[in-house]
Amino acid sequence: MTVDPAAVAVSRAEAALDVGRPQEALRLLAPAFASGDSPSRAWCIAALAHLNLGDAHRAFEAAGAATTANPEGEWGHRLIAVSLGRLGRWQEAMHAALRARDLAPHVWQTHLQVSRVARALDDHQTAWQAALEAVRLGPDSADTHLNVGACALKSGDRAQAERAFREALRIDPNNVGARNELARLDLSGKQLGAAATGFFEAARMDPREEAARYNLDLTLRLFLARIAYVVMIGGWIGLQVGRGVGSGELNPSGARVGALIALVAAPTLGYYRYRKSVVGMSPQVRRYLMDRLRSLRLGICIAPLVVALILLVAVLPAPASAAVGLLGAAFFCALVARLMLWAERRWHRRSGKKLRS
Amino acid sequence: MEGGAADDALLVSLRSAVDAAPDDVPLRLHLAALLLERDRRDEAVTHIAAALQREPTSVQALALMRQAMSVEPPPVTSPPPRTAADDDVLAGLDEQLRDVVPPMFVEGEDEPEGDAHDVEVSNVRLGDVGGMEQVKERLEAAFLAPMRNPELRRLYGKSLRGGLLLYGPPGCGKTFLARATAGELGARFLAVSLADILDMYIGQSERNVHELFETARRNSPCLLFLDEVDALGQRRTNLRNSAMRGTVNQLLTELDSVKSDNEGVFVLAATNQPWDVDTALRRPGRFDRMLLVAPPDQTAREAIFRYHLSERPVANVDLRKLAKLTDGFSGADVAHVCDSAAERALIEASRSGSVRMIEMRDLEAAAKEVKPSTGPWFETARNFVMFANESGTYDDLLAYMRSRRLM
Repeated sequence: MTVDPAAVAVSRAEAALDVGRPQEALRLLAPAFASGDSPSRAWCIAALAHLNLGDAHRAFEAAGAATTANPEGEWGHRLIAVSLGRLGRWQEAMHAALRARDLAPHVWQTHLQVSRVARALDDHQTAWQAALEAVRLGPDSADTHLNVGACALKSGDRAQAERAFREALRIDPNNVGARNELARLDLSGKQLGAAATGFFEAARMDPREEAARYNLDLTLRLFLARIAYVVMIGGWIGLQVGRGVGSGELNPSGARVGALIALVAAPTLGYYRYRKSVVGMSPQVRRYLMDRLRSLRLGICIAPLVVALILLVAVLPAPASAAVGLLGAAFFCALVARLMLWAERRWHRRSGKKLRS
Repeated sequence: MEGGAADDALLVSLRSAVDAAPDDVPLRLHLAALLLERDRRDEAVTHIAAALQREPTSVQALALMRQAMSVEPPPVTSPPPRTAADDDVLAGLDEQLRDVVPPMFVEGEDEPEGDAHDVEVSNVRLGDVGGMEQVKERLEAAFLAPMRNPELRRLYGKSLRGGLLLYGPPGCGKTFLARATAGELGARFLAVSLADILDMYIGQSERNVHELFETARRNSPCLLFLDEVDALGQRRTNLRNSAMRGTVNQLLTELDSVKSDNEGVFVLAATNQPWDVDTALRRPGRFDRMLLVAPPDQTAREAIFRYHLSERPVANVDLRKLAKLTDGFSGADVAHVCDSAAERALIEASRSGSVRMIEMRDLEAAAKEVKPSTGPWFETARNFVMFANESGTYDDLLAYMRSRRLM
């Protein structure tokens, strides 16, 4: 029995790709290409390897060669769609995805790809139809349910999205995408603690997953911004009372009461609002968040907030002449902290955009 | 001769005394010390262990035990080297018999009989590894000492099952350390590379893994080194191909040694991505101990520079200064610096038409040009240390990264 060196090379390359060595896979494919009669499968594996290496241009070229070698093979067309999507050429990607689906309508991956591209093109109806067909053909794949969740989220159906993400997690408990999306649902539902725990869990499943880490950091920034907001509002109310708005005379006692409200009542209300989240936060998440707080950029933003809290404490025993002034300074510091955190969050979002692109 | 006989008489009387007073710890330890002096380690260990049973905190007993554990391995007994004269005689016999006695059977062009994997004898020892004292110490304590002391192992009921997983950034000497470990153990060295691993996934994958362990057993004592073990022991959840999952399962079976005897087979593995290794592979009895092989320290870098420059024309090279300049560089990076410096000198020589030595300025310039390749690895490692270290798996990595301010 003779062994086809090209077939052996393709098998080896597939194995290399499966164990996370795309560079090695490309190297191993050389004999398959050298034989001059490169099978379509070899080109597809090369395209996949290039995609894993983040080179969508080369992936597109390799997938194109795969379809030239075998125009009736769906995999090549599907890989063209993926590559073009990565390059932002969604219309062309849709054309390739539809071609793949027409060639293999019984393969759920083809419908999934159509749905993904349609979602990127904001074609909700096509995305939905293809997503449901993908689930029908591949009910045991977490990816199909994850895609249904994403479609539901895009059309504003949070309940269906949550169901789909949970189903994806049930099928594959290590599905980082589903875990991340569920945490994002928590975040949009203002459950900051639950969201932080979810993002941390996603990052723990695969620490290389940048999206989960980005979202976790975003959650921390939102939490800090809310604290600054509460202190700012409390300080402003106290300042109004202390300035004797209406009576026209300074009211140091009112300022002290205002400071007390800002210091105790507002955080207590905040805690009551977020108690489930804070209590539910795992020790690892707390440790991670504390670690992030020590970073220079966040440290600079938090500094005025800490000063505001110190000033609020100082208002309580301060002489009548200084109480209102201190309260005003506390309000100003909280305002500065809020603005700085807002600016810092915008900067952080920019890195998120890079991540999405 | 007389002295030896007197010694033996002393040992006999001491043994009798110990038998008469088994609870006399100082007496036992005195006997153990004498036995160690005479290189009778197994018997000495038995007495030290008995003493430790009676006085577990005895400083003297513990010191003797450490001494017993850190003994040199027995020299490898190998057949006397063949001389040119031997070869001549054999060649002559072959020549004479060729025409007289034809071979009984003629084989086709099949591959020659023998092991499919290359088994080599390692001549490298840990002493040949420059610097990296901490790694060597941990290797000694976690791996070598139990391997070298079968008596002690039996005493403490420690089986030979399981192995050590070396991990760290690429190019930092994990393979070299494995080779040196084989040298220390006086064992043969059987290295399995990524190419071998990929071949295992083709065809009868389980049989391929079994054959690998069989080769190691046939060549016992043998150190089986699985390089890039994450490719072989990849998390099964990551694998789409069921044949590959079977390979991982077979590897687990071989390591567990339920069906086969692994006595004399030492398994060492290395990976740049410990986080991708199937957790089942890291359970007790398998690769349950992990050892971080960090980038070489200053002493090690000096040694690596010396090695790579030893065959080149160099002048006035301050190795210590170079080692200081290349903090955080891997061994491969240091080699790259040497290559780049040689290239600079070569280009200049070809331009000027006059040959010159590789000088310090070439090496300094090359060191500035070459960026440490370990950076991306530590970036990834940082995330794993931060998010996936609940069980303390990466505590030593965490400590290293904190000490280097990489966290």
